[in-house]
Amino acid sequence: MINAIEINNVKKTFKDLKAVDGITESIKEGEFVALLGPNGAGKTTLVEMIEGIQFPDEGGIKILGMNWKSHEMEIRKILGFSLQETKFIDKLSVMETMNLFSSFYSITVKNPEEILNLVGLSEKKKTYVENLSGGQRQKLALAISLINNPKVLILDEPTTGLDPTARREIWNILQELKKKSTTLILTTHYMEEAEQLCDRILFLDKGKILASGTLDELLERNSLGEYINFTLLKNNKTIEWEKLPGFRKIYWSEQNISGKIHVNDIINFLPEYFKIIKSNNLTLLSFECKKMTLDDLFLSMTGRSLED
Amino acid sequence: MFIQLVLMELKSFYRNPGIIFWAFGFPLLMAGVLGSAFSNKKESIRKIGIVGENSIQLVSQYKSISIPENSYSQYEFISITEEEAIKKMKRGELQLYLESKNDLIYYFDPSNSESYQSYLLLERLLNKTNISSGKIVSINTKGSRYVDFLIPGLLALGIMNSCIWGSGWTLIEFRIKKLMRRMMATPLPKWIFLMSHVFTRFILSGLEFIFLIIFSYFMYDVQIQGSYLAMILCFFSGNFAFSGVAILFSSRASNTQVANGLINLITFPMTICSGVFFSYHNFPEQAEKIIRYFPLTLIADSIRSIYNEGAQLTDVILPVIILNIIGAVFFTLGLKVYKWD
Repeated sequence: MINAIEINNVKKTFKDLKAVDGITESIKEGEFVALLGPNGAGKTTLVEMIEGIQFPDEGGIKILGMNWKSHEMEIRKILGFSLQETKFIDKLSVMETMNLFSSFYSITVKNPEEILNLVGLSEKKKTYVENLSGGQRQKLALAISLINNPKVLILDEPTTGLDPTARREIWNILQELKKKSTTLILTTHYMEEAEQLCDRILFLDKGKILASGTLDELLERNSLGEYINFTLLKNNKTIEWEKLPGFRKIYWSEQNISGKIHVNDIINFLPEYFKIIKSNNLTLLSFECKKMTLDDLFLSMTGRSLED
Repeated sequence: MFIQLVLMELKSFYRNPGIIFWAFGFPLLMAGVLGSAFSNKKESIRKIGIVGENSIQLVSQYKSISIPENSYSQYEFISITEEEAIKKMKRGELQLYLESKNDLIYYFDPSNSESYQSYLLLERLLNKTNISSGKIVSINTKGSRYVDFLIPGLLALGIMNSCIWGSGWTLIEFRIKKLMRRMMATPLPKWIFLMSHVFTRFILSGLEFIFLIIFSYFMYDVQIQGSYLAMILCFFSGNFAFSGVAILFSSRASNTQVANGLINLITFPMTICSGVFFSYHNFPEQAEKIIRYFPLTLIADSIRSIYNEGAQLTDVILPVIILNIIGAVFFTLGLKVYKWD
């Protein structure tokens, strides 16, 4: 099977900042891939280079075997995307905006009505863009990205700033697209979005891919174990948590009263943990054990949270 | 609490360079520009035409009149034919002309305040020297009234504003909203995108142009005395020149303050200096030499000559060529440095 996207040792620097620092990656046709990382990880720079809006300082990108230099127009015809924070023209209606963008693709234009139905905007087709809610605007951006029936769809944070209901609506639309074997790259800093929608997750930080795989693969490969989240009334800094059995790492909050301990084996760890709490006369305000999530995994790899 | 609120206001004021410019810089700039045109009347000279058989004699007689110490006016008397005098008055180069028969006859448009002032000052001067009192003949034949001067200026101004605010501002807004970046990522060719803006301006400023021509015809009887073809050519060339200017200045700006500043930087000096509302012959000679070649001046002068002096195609061909060169140069430069994302 041909790769939908091939990224080969791509580098991009802005002044002193290495936004993308030597990324090599292939994405298969029909694959849904999430680019996950905190703000400033290089997600947008990477997708904008795939979209041909920015160009790499080094390395190359191929879309369905074509490169930007010699096949710009062909690629633009098969690529669909929504950018972060595009504002459309206030005084155009939803349908007029759709028709405007349709006119840019002379051959493969899908029926705008059909797309508005798919994204749930058909009732708003006569509404001016300025009167749409945040969620409706994101849906319009998504509808426009689908206008040319794209083979490769790239969505840059399509649900940022939306309430949970609107976010779920967008997810449902994207799940519909999966049935049509569209290739999707999605940037997000919501791990749930990546978990729900994507076959594969790429962790990005400081312009590099830290890890890649399915959710289970990532959790399995990188860091088995569980997490204990707890809050103390008052901390005792002399306690040596690292000497407890199965301890891997501890992360303290800024005030040093809330902690997060990553452990190998919770069954062996917990009895010793409670012994320490008791012997030091510490008061637990909250306590929770949980399986590792993507956010925990990211934290264990970088020391930073995805939502930073 | 009160002090904090005042501090908040002051901080948001002085941390915004755009506002500082408009609050302090702009009034000073305007004062400077207008001041140079109108303040130092001792240096700016009132040109008075003298017609009739004895004109040369009168010129030398008037030249010998000593101007009182406390007077702010100086006069340049020139012997001229009546036809020339009317033409110069239409262009704003002459404020009035006079003829000596039995009485002195002052010819000017009393609705033009500059001419009227010149008349009052001159009359007082000549009365003091007992030359003779005179009478006024109001010149308000078509082409020599103030409204005949004003309407062509406003037509030219309309072209400039339509292109600069219409095309330029819209393009910058597209960039700020990231809509340009979104459109450029589709197969839409860049030249079609830009030309659509220019073409839309041709349509809109064309309509504005026609409306103003019709309005001034019916309201003030301002009539085109020259070639219609020349007028159409001036319209298209003016639009082309200012579209080029709009493309260049919109090529990099990506926030509204810079855009606002740039637009005002371009439009204000020309609105004030290019002879839209008053003749640019009031400016010092050196400044006048430059102002003459501002695109707005070229359009206003050409349209004015077509309206009031019956100019034909050949009379406006030079400004038309210059306007097209300006358009082509600015377009090319603009496209070279254009920021598409």
